[in-house]
Amino acid sequence: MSANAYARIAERYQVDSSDDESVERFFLDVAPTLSREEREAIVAELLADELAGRPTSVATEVPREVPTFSIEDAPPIARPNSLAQLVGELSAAVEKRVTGRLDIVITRALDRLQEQTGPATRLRFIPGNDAPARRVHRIADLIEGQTLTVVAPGSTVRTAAQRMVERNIGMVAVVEEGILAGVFSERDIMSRVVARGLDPDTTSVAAVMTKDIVVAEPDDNLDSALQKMHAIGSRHLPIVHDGKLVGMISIRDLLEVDDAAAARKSTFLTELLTYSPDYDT
Amino acid sequence: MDHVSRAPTKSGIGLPVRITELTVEWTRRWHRWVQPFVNGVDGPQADKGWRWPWKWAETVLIGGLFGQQPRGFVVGVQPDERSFVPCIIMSMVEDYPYLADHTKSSLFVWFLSRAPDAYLRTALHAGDDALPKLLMQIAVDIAITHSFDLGHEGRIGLHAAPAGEDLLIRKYEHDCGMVRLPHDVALPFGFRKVMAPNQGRYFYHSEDTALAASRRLDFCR
Repeated sequence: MSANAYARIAERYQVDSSDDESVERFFLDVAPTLSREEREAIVAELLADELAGRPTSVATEVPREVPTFSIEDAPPIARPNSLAQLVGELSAAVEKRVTGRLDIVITRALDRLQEQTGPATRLRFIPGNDAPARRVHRIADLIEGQTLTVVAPGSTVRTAAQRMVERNIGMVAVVEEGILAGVFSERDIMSRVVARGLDPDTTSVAAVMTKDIVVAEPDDNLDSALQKMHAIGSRHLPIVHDGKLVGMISIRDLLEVDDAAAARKSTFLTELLTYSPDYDT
Repeated sequence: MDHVSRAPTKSGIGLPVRITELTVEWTRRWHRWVQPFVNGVDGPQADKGWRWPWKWAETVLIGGLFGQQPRGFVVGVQPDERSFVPCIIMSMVEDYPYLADHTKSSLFVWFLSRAPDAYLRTALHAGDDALPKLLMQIAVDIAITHSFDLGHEGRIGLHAAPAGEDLLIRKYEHDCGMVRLPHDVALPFGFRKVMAPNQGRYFYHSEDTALAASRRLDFCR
């Protein structure tokens, strides 16, 4: 039996395991082309050997002299220190949906760029929020731990309005026995209560709420949620699972996500936040 | 954040540090000239008996499995303007689930070796006072800095090979300030087949501990 997993595996693929360079070539050139199952099995076998502490090389005599290598053999690694590299890095981050301290990357790159180009104009990037970024890809991540604000269909408009003011939100969900019955927004108060001269103390939410509701699922991604908001011209979106309300997201929530894809849409979001009413009916 | 630019010595004179890409050629050099010293170390040593050309190939294989970017560095000191003495060799994948929160990404160090003092004495023709110190901390710091470069906010992970016994655990936990992953925390789903079981030998740096650890080496930047 061969001494170690590398050699055993190489032998299975008809490589001369006594020739270290052949084994090396197999692992570098051939192994990466094998099927996923084969590659997983190979890595698992190598891992088992490593955990068992089996050596992959035999002890050789310690040399009395060793060479000193030239710095030409060791070119320094490239780091993101120019505008071109920065643009490349940011583009890659957007493509890979990497989130993180992009503010740090940008600040550092700008500093280095100025070192190279001179301090004619001092650029400063001031991050808006120093809190650690959240990795959010799905709505479920966004609504995790969220406290829901709901009212019953029989609640009065004033009660609903007070609830919105207390929580500083623009929409409440109307829920009956756990099931989402409708939504009621600031816009509804204006257009369906105040404009019609109805009494907020006697008008029930059920009478003036929006019943034709567009919802999203927790497993939906943020882009999809954004598209739904865009399609209906709403700043809010109820999140429903098995018919039950599990969360509510707003455009402000999406704006606060440190997500490259969301950032790309910031212009649209800002416009929608500024100009669009909820459920413009 | 800048990489460490000099390694401290007992004599107080810092040696310039240079970081270069790990290549197959460098793994061969390490195996030919440094590994015999590693194999000769008395006591527990995780990398005793390693063959770095194959370890690098293994990293490439693992990286390819998950569509991740395998990467490696050789970190050395410059005793003079023209010379380079390798001190650290490390391989990693640049996008791996963060051990403490699988929804986040991190850098994961797969293999890491530091040159024994016996090698450094021979290569630098120097006594103990002139040898670079804090090499494990520098290796971890380079991983942290690279994690920042990648947008992972300093998050890194690694597994302390059992052959390193408790000595290696102490190095990562106490010397490098890493957090030990509790043994009852599940490893990322889908990756477990190619990961050692969690027997309390996984370590990670969070955003906060990474920053704290890197601050301790600011005097070397």
